[in-house]
Amino acid sequence: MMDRLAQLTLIATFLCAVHAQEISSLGGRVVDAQTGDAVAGATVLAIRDTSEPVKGGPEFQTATTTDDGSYSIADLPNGSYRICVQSAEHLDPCAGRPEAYVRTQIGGKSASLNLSLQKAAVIRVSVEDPSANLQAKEGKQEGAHLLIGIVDESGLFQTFTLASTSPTHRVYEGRVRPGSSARLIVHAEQFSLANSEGSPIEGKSLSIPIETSQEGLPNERTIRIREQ
Amino acid sequence: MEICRLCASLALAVALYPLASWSQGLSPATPAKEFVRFGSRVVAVDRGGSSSVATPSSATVSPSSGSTDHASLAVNVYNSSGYTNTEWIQTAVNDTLTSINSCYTYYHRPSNLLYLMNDAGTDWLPAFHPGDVGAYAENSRCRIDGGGTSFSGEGTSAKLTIKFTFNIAFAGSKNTYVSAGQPSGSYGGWGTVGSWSVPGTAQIPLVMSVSPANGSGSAGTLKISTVKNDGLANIKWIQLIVNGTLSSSNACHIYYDQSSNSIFLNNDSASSWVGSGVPGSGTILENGQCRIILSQSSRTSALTTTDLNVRIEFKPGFAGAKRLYATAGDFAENYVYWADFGSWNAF
Repeated sequence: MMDRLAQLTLIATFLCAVHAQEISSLGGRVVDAQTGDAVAGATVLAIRDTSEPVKGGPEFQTATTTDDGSYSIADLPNGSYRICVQSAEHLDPCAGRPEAYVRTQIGGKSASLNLSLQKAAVIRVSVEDPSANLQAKEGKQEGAHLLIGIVDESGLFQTFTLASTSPTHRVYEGRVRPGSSARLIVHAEQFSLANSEGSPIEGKSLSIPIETSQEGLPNERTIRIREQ
Repeated sequence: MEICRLCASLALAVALYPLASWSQGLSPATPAKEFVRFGSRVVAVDRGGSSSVATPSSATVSPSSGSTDHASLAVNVYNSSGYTNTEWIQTAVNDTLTSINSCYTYYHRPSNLLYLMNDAGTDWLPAFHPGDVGAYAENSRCRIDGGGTSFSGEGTSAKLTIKFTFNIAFAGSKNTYVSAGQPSGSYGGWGTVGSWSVPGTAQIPLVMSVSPANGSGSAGTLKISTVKNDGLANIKWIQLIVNGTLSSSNACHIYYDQSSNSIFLNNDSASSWVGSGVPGSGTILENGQCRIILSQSSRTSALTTTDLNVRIEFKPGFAGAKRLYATAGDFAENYVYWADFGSWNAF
């Protein structure tokens, strides 16, 4: 009986501790920095800063912006948060240098944070692979890897994401600041590369400078995978 | 009382929720909700039907600080969706966060390949698999080695250990930066996880590896890879002993002299050298245990690294399990004592 009482006391103590933690919300609007237009369908992440890394992964909450660009994240315990925004046409503030990260303090009441996002210049790499070597090797043959990305103007490497794929054709995309210089790197392990005309590329890599337009017009490059 | 009843319901719900749900993946087949621990609570994250949102990562490095010219840095990346959702890990050891003139690496988990960026920050050097003894990549700031480098994953934790050797030209206070990402590319950014002070003093030459580390056969080419952080010209000699124990007697004991670019072979009683020759020449050195085929031997050097490739044919009387011992020295007579780098089963 005493054991049971002790357990209940322990649970009550735990519940009081839970209740004592102040919970707040964060809301605001996400707009395009240049036009002021609402950015709809973007994902806003609030990632809690901690003095010690959380072994299960950082604590975070997400919300999707509505048609008028507004978002609302409830259930945020007090603390400092890093705010990331994932949008198809804009730069994520968390994708650049740490100095540019957006941080906000949540402290026991509803907080408001409006975010203006810079439009991204898209760099698109089209990979033609007539013999479907990528499909045959990648993930199946140890060490076979096609690494596509850019070193941006701050010297940080960003991997491209796979935008579309078929057995013989893939499109990879990356995003950088409009009007900036970047270097596109295509590095192939266990594949041979060729340029868009089919001429072989010496070595394992293609590394070319890219200038993005102020308007953010897409830069497009085509490479080919050859039989090795 | 009402609050307590609500709290009790919440606590019960948390207690009953299967622990496995905390590490649900974020592949296209996963549900639109993910459960994330928030302090003492567990909350459901509404994915809004999208499967492209990446879960952010947090990271640590161990040791978080140090002041030696070589280091095995273990980076732990935590992701609530499970370590298999960590597709890549980038690390940078530098005074500022950039890939230019930096010790900047990229690890791709699905292919298990580790890359090092070149000095200009314009291209990746050829990649290798963690654990590949004898494989390495080097720029003017550092060298990373396959031997001593590893990757493992369990639950929400991905652990990447990289063996670094820092160049004397890289001396000074550095930070250790880490970022990690998923296939969708978004990741939550970079974090500063540690610091490292690279000394400005010349290190004793190090033998990094003898490869293959575990070989067999009547003949083979052994690569002894050495590093000297103030430049390859300061390696004076490299030695290799293939024998059952660390002894030059009745062994296959070779000595490489950098000044003359010559390989010597010890005689059976370890009392004198049977002869010498330049790697690549037609000379064959022979004692009772082995023959050194110099036409198939070579020395290669770059930046701080000197590799010696020695073609050895073992004689039938030398058959059996042998160890591979190596050491290297510099012109200031500094050296590290012999160490065991692997095995060879001669037959």
